[in-house]
Amino acid sequence: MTPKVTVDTIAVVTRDIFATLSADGGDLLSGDRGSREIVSTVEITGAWNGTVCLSCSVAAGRHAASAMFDMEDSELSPAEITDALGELVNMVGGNIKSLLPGPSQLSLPTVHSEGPFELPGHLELANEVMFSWTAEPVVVTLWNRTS
Amino acid sequence: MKALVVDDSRSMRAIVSRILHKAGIDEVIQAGDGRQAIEVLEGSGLPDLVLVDWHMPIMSGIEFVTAVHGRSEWRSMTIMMVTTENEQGQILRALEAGAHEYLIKPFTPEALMEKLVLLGLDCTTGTGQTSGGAWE
Repeated sequence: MTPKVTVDTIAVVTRDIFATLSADGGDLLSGDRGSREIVSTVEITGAWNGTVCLSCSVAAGRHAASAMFDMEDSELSPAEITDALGELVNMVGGNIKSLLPGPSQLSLPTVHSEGPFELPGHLELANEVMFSWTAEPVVVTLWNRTS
Repeated sequence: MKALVVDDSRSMRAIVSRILHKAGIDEVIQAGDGRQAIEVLEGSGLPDLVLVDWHMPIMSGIEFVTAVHGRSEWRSMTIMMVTTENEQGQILRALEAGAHEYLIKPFTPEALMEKLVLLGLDCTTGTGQTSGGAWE
């Protein structure tokens, strides 16, 4: 159903995005699921329907926000971390959308950072790519809507 | 030279504004959606350049571009869409609606600078002449 979207293409898209953040963040490396407290999602609707999800640790989220806002970690508010993670999943989702059958629409991003997070039950995992960024976990998943 | 950055993401507004300042644009103002941007245009004078996201709440980028194009007194502004929206049909739609250039996220500072040069914007002097090497 999604021949152009593979683990490899998701990895390339995500690495390209993180590469534009900041040189001192280093490259996205292969990683594992780790402990992820922040989950940002964006929905794709149209010829293909599903959800792109980017989850990471608080430390990775803070590092991304610090790079994007060009602020010291100690200056960051939760709103800035939420905003940064929303924009990151927006870029990942937008670029994955271009590889999927179209036309389709991208939703505005949502970011969840408090308490346990569960995606709706009608979503089925299509791809999962696990990274390590600044020695912290970053995971991108693509979920196919089944109903 | 004056620029307006329109994006619902504060982080993206910060990134774009930082690049524009480094490129030599001395005045950069921001708006969080198309409606706010319209209010800025009505209240504080026209910028030379508007960089606008596509997907925003309240008023989207394409609605903003269409609204601007509908007012002849605003057509002197140069408009660049800066967005993750990269379907060919949508890019054409934006250009037909009145956008002058299109930059797909993610982008590097160099890519944005190249677009400014393509548009004939000399950010370092405000003379409208093209120039390069603003990053060095």
